[in-house]
Amino acid sequence: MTNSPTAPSPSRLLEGVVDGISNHTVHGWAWLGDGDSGPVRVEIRSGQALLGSGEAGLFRADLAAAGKRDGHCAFAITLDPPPPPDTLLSVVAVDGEQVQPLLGSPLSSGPPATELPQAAVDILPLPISTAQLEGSLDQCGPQRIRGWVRWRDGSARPVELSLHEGERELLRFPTSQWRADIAELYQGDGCCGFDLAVPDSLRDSHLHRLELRLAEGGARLLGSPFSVRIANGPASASAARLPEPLRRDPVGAPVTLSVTVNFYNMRREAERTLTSLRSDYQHGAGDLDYEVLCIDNGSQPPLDADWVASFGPQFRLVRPSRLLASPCAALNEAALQARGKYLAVMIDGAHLLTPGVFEQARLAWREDPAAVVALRHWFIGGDQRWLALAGYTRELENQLFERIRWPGNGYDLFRIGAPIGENPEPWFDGLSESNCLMLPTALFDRIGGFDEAFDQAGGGFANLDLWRRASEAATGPLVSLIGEASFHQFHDGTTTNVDDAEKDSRVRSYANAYRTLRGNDFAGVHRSRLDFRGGMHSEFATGVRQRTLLPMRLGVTDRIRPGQMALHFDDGAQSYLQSVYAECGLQRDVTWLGQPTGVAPADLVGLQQIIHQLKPDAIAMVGAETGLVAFIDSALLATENPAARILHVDPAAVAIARPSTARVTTLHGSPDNPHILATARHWAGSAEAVLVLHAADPDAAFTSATLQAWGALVSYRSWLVCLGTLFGQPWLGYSTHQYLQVIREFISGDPSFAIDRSWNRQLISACPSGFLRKIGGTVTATNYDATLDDLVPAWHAPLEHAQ
Amino acid sequence: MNRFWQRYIHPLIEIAQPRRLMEIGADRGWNTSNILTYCRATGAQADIIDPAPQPGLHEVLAQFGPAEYRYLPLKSVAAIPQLETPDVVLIDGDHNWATVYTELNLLHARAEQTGLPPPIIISHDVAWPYARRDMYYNPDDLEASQKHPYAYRGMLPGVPELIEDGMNGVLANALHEGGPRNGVLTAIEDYIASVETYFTFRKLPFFNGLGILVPAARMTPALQALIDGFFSADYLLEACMALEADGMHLRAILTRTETCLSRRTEALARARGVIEAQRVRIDELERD
Repeated sequence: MTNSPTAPSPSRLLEGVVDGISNHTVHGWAWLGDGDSGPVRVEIRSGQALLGSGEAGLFRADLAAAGKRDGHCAFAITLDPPPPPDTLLSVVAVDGEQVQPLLGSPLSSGPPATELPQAAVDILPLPISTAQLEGSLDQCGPQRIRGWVRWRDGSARPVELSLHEGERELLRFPTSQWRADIAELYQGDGCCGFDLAVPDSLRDSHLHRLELRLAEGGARLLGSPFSVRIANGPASASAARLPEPLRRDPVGAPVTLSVTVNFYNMRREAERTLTSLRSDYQHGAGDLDYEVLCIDNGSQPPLDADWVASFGPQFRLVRPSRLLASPCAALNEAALQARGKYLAVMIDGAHLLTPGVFEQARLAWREDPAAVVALRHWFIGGDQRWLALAGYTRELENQLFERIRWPGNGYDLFRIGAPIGENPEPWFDGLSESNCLMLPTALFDRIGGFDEAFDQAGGGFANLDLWRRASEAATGPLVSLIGEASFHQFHDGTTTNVDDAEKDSRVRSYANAYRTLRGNDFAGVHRSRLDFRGGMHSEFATGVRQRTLLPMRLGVTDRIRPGQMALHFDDGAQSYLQSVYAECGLQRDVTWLGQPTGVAPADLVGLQQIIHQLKPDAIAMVGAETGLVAFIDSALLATENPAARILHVDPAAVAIARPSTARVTTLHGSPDNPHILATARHWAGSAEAVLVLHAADPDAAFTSATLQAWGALVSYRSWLVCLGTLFGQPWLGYSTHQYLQVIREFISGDPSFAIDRSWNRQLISACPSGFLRKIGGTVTATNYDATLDDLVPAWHAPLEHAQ
Repeated sequence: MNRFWQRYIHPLIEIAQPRRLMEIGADRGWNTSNILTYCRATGAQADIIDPAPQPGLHEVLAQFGPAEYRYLPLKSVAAIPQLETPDVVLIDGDHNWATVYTELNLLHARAEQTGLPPPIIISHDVAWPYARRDMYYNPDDLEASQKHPYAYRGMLPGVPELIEDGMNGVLANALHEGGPRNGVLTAIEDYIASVETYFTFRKLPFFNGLGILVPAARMTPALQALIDGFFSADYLLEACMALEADGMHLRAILTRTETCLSRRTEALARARGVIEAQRVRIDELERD
């Protein structure tokens, strides 16, 4: 696609398109078809009048993917003052004396703005691209304004920005917040983000035209102002459906704490739960005035009031006036009978508590009477969702309790439990739900308690919703207890004791019901909003990475639980394990026929699989250890590939006598030496399947340029394997080697390669992100170069001469 | 998806008469051209969403203007929450469960927020190979929990595992076909099962499959009759003819490819002969 010039033929080809106009800003892209020229100047005219101009130098990912000036050729030119409606606009690129209209020009400035409501608000993210800076405005409203900006020269100093409406400055802030995604992308400092509350003055449901500027000097960061419209309050669907505040009639003598706990067909579990609420179990509860309201929400057989009362004078049975599948109404009804200044709400009576819960809650309220205290939840036994399907029973669970002689030491529950979320860090993550939520009764009333619109069996997301609304309405801190937990006993719950598919289906249904009621998706409370208090009374409570499931060795099944790699071995665990491997130098123990290979066992297996699968004719090994050369030789022998050849490029200047076979050709010299490269190309010759292994090592000149040179030898669907990427950043954050960054640079310049992480699935590799597969460059019937068929003409002369 | 336009999508859109359309995944813009032609004829508007289209899309867009479209070089999951609820959405983006399920739910949520019924969804790839198998254009874009183990290997019908020389081996395909949270069709079915909205969902099981999902609130007798008609003998006969034409076209391309391969093989054989002759000649000269 090229554009037709209006006057004399251009010396350079120009490509460009006008994408459209919105908010009086003309958008599009233009470039001169080569990578060397500067940005094209674009002008917008009406007749002879110049209405606006600017450079086509903004970044757009789609243009980068299309190979147009690395994506830096977009423009957004604001027409100020706006032209009258339906003005015919000519959009031209100016290159010296050349003036060329862009495709899509001329275009109309459009009807009056009122006829185009869709154009009123800009769609974010908006790219930020100037000569010195790059970044993105990711979000502006409804609550936060987020994004990132960094210096193109890699400088780590924060950028001071300001947000303006006209000439009025609304915000001034540095871009200094850590962004893991930016750190990963640029393999360096990710402290270039911003995340702030949207100014109240913007929350008025009116249209605002805003600008992001450099605080010093006022230079604009976006091509044009952007428009936002932020509602003044919660979404209408949410506002309409929030429960009304509860109205409470006077009840008996007040107490400090009322516990409301809901039971349904769980007599066995209730006994332990109620025991854990007794004053002789809860530490320091002897002087606590509290009551426990035990709701029996229609159990068959029903719980006995005398049995409930036998746990202590604080305990009494409550039978709801209506029996519904959802416990929400029953919990609200019980809460209205409560006398406590504070409420502890337990929607699932199968949860029993550790002994310090009341004590820690009282300490929190002593520090701030308005505190909302949340308890995290664990499973007794472990992953009950799977264990139940594998044969775990209440009787087996009883054995676990007997082994720790519960309730002797309540903290021994951690010895027989596991966090429900299986998060490797069980205490400091955000919180979506608490099965013992303790809050001021006045707050519970103010937010209307449980929302009875959650009418699914078990309540669906009602408990999550209560925590969320309480967290938003609280005037005190949100306290997450550490070292204290509720433990879920095995019973016929709605989501805990069903198979994964059914649980998945139910949870999705609950999530949709929540969204219908609230108008947005459920989001837990972020860890940054939580205060933490407590202590570790059990070494088994500290973490989960160092322990097995069911450490008490309860024989349940001969099956093995299907693991979930992302859950059980997250990025943090993987990085940690990899760095331990690298720092302990375990690859040095991995030898083949007595020679070091320099890689991990899983890498050897992966390379063997590649050789078996690819059946390479030629393998170039750049800077590889001799043991690895021997291993590849053995693999070729084992896969009955006798014709395959190996080129071993040894950066060592001096040849060292090494065991070799006939198939191995050794070259000594730097891999970026043009002579070595030319020899390698000649050596590869007409081999159809070429595999290249390139050591990530400074001696092996591991740069994007050498990867490009050696990658050119790799045949379609083969691999360029970068050996030893582990021994640099990001796996060793202190390393001066930037191997992953080199790989990313190489791939961005040659998109026919992709990082093939399927070869890193065996957890420990010396080549993480180092297996690069060539998946581009396919020859098809349409791009077939028939001139390559005729190989003979160039050879006629020697042939004829020979004859 | 473009192959469904004439016989299926265009008649459906003619009857549904959407004022606002959305295209997720525009690629070269073949279908975009059809959509924008409709928009130009009727005054409707379309949001075209594709973060990494082929260059051809820009040529297509250049033929139209802001009256017809708004182009968003963004990921669908970032764009949808900011856009007006469309009447019809054509989905042909990232072919994996997590992305499609999220797209459908975001569209649903957006419709609920604005008090509108969910849009009519026309989704490609509800048949083999991506009905029950995820594919990731850029695996790093998704969280680890959102994707299955994958490899840059190809697929064969009826073979659950990937094979080296199968179809679409240049893409990151899930290692296994089937099972929960895997594939485009599974995502649509899971979406339908998890919302309290009644849908009509029909699948045309050829050309990689076209799914038509119509919420009850947008269904009309004429639309119902049209969709039912897609499964009538006459329509299916037309589908057979189109499939036959497609098969013949592919066979012709195969023949062309085989011709090229044969020529290239012959050329290589000749080259081998030349090299051998030269080797012999060099040996002779060295002996002399």
